[in-house]
Amino acid sequence: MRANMSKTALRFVSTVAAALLIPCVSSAQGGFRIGDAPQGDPDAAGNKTRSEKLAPAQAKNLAIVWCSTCHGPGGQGGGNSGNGFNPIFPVLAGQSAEYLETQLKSFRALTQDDLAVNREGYVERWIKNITGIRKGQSVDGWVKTVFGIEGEKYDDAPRNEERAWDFMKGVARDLNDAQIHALAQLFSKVPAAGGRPADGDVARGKALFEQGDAAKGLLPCASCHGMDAHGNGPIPRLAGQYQDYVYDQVKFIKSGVRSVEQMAPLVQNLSDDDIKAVAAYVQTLN
Amino acid sequence: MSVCKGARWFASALIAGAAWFGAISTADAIPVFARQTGHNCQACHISYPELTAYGRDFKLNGYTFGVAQPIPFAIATMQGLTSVSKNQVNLPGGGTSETNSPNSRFEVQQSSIFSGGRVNDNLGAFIQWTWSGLGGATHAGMDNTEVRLVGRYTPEGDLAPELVYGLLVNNNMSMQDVWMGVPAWRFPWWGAGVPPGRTGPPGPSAAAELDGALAQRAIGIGVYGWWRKTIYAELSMYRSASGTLSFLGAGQPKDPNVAGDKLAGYNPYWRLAYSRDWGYNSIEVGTFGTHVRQYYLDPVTGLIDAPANVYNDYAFDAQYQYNKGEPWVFSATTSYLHENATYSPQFGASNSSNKLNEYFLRGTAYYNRMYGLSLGYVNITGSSDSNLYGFNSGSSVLGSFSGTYDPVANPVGNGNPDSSYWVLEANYVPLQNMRFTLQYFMYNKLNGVSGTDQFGNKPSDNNTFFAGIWWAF
Repeated sequence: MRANMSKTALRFVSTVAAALLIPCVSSAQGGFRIGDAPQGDPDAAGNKTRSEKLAPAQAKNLAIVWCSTCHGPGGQGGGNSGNGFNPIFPVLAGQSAEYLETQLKSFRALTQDDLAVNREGYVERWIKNITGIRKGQSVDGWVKTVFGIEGEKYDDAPRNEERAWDFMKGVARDLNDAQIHALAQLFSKVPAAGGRPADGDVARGKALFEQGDAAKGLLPCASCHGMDAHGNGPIPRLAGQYQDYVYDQVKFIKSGVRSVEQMAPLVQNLSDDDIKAVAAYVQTLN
Repeated sequence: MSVCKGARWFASALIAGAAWFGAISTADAIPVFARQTGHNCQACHISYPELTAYGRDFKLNGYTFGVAQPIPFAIATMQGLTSVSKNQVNLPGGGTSETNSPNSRFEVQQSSIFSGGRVNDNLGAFIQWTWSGLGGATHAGMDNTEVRLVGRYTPEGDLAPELVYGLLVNNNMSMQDVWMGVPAWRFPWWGAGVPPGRTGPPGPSAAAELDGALAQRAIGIGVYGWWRKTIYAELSMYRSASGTLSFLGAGQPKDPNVAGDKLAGYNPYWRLAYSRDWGYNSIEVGTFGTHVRQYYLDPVTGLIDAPANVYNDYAFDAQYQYNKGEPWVFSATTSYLHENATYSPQFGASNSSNKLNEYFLRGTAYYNRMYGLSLGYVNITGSSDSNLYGFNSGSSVLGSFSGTYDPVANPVGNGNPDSSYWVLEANYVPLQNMRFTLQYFMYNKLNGVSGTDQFGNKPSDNNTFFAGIWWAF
């Protein structure tokens, strides 16, 4: 009797395993596989390359399987999931496509050194891992002397900014241009989650955002981001973004950790309280 | 080939195939995964091996995020110095002992090769092969190993999975869990080696069946579901690793003294948990348990003598994490495990059934992800059983005693398994793949003794200091 039950159990298990295995083998093409090298050139008629044709489906899979893990469904943050997400991860839904594309490419650019090393061979890559070189650490010291390898130098990065790189560098590392474009398109077209109540001096934030503060030499944020804070082209949407995230980013831009040439001079006179107020205000916007 | 044999081959092939090179240690994550995903360790770990919310998703998605690496290898190595407060004890009746012998020892504790990671969208593995040098008794073999096949259900038009589900095969009951209250992942995650003159690290003699008795000795196959990052449910069945699966048994021959080698058929392990994340916070409350039937295997004849021992374990756990990253990260886990055991007459316990409770609590704080402090507390209580716990009669213990007296190998107590102790640990993590640890075990009560036993030994004589380096690459 026991032997029979055990056989039955094993048969069930193998059947389930096989049923799961078959789709996973067959889904290798349509899966969220990333890292495809660009394939083919546009023909004379301007038809899409193979990468461009594959990209939208790949982007959708990526968005579902990987991006949603931190950014929520469609990049809406905690909005629709019934489960709140960590504000370290920004809301992406409704964000400007051009801005998203630029950001993903910036993250990817950070990995080019890694990729160069990768191409040279695994030995160098291993040395980097063995020595534990990582962002935020100077490698001018013994590592450089002994191994002749330069690490990634983000010495001035406060560790919270480093957290974006903890995650996003790896995600962007293996995306091709077509996939980045498709992801940006996808998230930009998802309806943005609505504004949410925020902690802080929302009224002061509104005044700063819409009118600036002439006495302090502050231009209104709205002059670039729009009165509705919906952004435009390279200028990101702020409406509905997590206030903690906005606060951190403005601080990083002010300190130069995050390099945004156009904006850095404009935020130098913002105090911590100003930044908090503006960040709170934009979170409330639809 | 019978269906039975075929299925075993399938399971072996699944693991061997996915594991084509192997890779990582009990306590540690895996640079294999870091290379695969491009993430830093902190993306998935508060500190190794504690998982963040994202780390939990990575594991439940079958380790499939990222790009498969051509050489999926990593190595972790741990070295440490172990020192007990009072190692050699004076023998009762005026006997001598080596009171001047050293009570500290440095050990290359273990080195592991890890492998695994993503194979494709639906298949991934975590494989650890370990060489252990603890106590001078070196051995090598398969350590914690797991393979997952996953699927995802996403309603048409949605942009996040409604349900992540999977099939898993592993060799350590509860290693598949993503919270830190299950026995396989309870704090401390590494620590004291074997002090000189002892046969094992100091510690309580009693442990529930679910608490390590089956580790690397039984193989389990299970199904699970992870619904909307909120509800986790799992049912797995464990059996002894034998035949073509025996390579999962830590490379050890079948041993009649090892619980995992004499399981009766398939034994269920179940898990149900509710999880919620908001802001930087994350909570979990859950329950898990097992029903294990274990034969009495005569050490001389090797014969199975039914009926089996039956262990019913059930547990409740809860966890909280605050993970903003900088400057502070906090986490805390607690669990309570209750065991009802009934014994075969041949097993030799004094009672026909016993109860055992394990209460566990741990809190951790990290500053700038570099300086960490953890405090753990364990309290074990249970039925007194002089035969089972074997330390009722001091004279019988001493009758077989020769050489240095070891209060852990031959504890002297009242047959009571009660123990309680604190573990304080300080960590310094200068590089994300390197950790320096100072750890101190403080025993309030050990094997039923809370004051001084008849030979003048106190639980605090077993207090243990450990300093170690953990390095993965």
